[in-house]
Amino acid sequence: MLGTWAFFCVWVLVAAAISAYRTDDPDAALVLGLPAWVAWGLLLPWVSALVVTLWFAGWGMQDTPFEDEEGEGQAGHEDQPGLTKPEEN
Amino acid sequence: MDILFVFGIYLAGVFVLAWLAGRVRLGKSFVGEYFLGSRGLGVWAFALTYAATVASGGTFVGVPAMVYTHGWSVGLWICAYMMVPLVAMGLIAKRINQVSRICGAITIPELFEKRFNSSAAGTTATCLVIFFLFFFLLAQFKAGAQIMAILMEGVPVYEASVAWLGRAVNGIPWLGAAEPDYLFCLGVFGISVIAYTAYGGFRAVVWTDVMQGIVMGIGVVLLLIFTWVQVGGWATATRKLQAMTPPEFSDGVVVRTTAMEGELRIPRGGWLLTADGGRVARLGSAVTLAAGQRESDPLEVLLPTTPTEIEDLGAKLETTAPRLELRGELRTYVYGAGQPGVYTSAPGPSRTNPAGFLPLLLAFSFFVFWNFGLVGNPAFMVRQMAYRDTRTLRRAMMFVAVYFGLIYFPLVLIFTSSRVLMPGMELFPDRVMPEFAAFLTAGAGVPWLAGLLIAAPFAAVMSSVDSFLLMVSSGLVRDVYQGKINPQASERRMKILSYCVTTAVGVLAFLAVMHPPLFLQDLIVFAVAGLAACFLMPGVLSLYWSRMTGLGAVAGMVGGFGTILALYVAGYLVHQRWSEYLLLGLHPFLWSMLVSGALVVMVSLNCRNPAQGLRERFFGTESPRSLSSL
Repeated sequence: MLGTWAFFCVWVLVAAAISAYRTDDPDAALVLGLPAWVAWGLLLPWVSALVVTLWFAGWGMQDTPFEDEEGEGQAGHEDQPGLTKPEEN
Repeated sequence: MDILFVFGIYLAGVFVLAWLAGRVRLGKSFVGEYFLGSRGLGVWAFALTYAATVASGGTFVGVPAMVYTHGWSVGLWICAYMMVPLVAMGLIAKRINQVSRICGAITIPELFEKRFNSSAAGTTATCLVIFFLFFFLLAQFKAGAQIMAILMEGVPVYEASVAWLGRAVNGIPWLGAAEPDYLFCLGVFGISVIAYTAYGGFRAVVWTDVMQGIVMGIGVVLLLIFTWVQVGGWATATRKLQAMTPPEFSDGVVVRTTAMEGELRIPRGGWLLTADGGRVARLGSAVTLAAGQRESDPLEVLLPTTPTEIEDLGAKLETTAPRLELRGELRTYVYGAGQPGVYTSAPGPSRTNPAGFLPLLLAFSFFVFWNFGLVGNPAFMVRQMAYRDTRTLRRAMMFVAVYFGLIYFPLVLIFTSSRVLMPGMELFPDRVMPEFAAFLTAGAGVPWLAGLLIAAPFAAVMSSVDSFLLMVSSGLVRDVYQGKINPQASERRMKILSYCVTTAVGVLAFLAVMHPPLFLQDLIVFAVAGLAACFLMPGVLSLYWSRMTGLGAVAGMVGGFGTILALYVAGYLVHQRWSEYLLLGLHPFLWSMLVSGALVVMVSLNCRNPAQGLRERFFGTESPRSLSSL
């Protein structure tokens, strides 16, 4: 997951460093009506990240059953199994 | 009035949902239901409450203002949202839900306390949550009141009410010094949001978030369509934007022409020709010239510099109208002045930073910040404790990914185009979104629809205020009162206290923001960065590292807090205004995260091992979870 984040971070920043940080060409080319660096460095990685997220959420992540050990909303700080009262380490 | 009618329907919907949520709560355990909705959120509720809470007033008021001012470079600033669903939800959502169920925690401070069996960890977390969320609340209250003031402008009932309020509070300390229109709107906004949050609790917040999330989505799609039609397509907008150069600012006075008599009023934002007729200027404040008065007091003005803008605006102005005489020096952007193409490239124009709005290292900082800042924000952490099962989580991730894609990128597209259609808004940047909504709907011949479009940012603000209000309230009621003062508090007492504290916190925020801070987005970034600085590393490591101790958690939180505070204080001292200090060009959040993480590890390793029972309880008897699984 962190590797995927790093991949997209590098993609966006390298694309920006190469083509976004130059104001010497006010008539720069457009792609889909957008500045070219926006299309290749923002829109395309965004769509790709969406595909990766959909894949991960749909097929990459495993379901795990949850079990409640304690009921919610219990008053106070109950004694916990195997523990003594709160300590200050 | 049509706008108000549509907006009124939206507000009525919010109250009905809050009332229904209050009814559902009957017969359930009060605390668990009020603060966490009994951990029963389904896909739609979880996804939309998460998305709507993330998309705050900053998204719909602050971001449009920044896009308008700095152009496409803001796309680079905000693009980290492409990874937010994967990183922010995927990194901890499953594990935090599991751990909170194991120990029965309802709030983040309680989670820290039970995870480490350390009241010091819980107390530190409570104090920090309350401190930073209060800043967040202030910014959201201001945004809500501003949006409402724009919506109501010109409505007779509203104008009469504001005039009455102005007379009523005149002379009252603190109240009397506030602008009456802002005060009125702040009151209406504050009462609405405090009432439904205090009554309905977490479930009301979630249900209204769902509605607000839908309103936001529809609002952005409509804005996108209207913009595309009125700007003549994206290619036309980009070409015009490429030719634009940043405006200049100066001071000047409004002067009558010889043919004019009687009282003269020009509203804030009015356009005038300069005395030499060669330029146009926009007024930063309203001007009234009494009969016989020749010229006004000096006021700030904006002067466009793009030739086509000057030509178009000048052609619409009457030559007999009053003129503007410039009396001050011209103030230009320190980066990007006179430079075509600056709005369509990075780092973007800036009035204050000679290196531009977003140097590359700062762009990297924000790619880290938006992703991990949200992982470490307790308001989002607590939502990840509330969903029903992992199937719900997976579907919600898919939904949020699509939703963010449809919100954030289009917002940049829309508001770069707003610069082409609606010049001169640099004087009032936080008003860009609502004014552009009114501009587009008027241009499309459906002005009543502005009510729905303006409801979108209002919904964003409300959905964030209610969540943060409840977080602060839960910190005080659950963590401080029930945790430290009266652990055996009865259900009835907790209920009354929860209502009272939620109301009191809201009222306190209302009073504090009566004289609002100047920079909305700066406050939001500070609050988000501060929360993440304190909670990201301790939060993530506490879920995955069995060796971490309570003292390590305290050290991490305090270290993160101290670092970010020190860098903001340094920024203030260096720049003489509210600003962060970019040590080596990086945002303070990154330094805080590093310091916090290092302290967690060093202090934990220097403490004795956590109790075996504690480790087995949260990590089982099998091999402990390792960070490499992230």
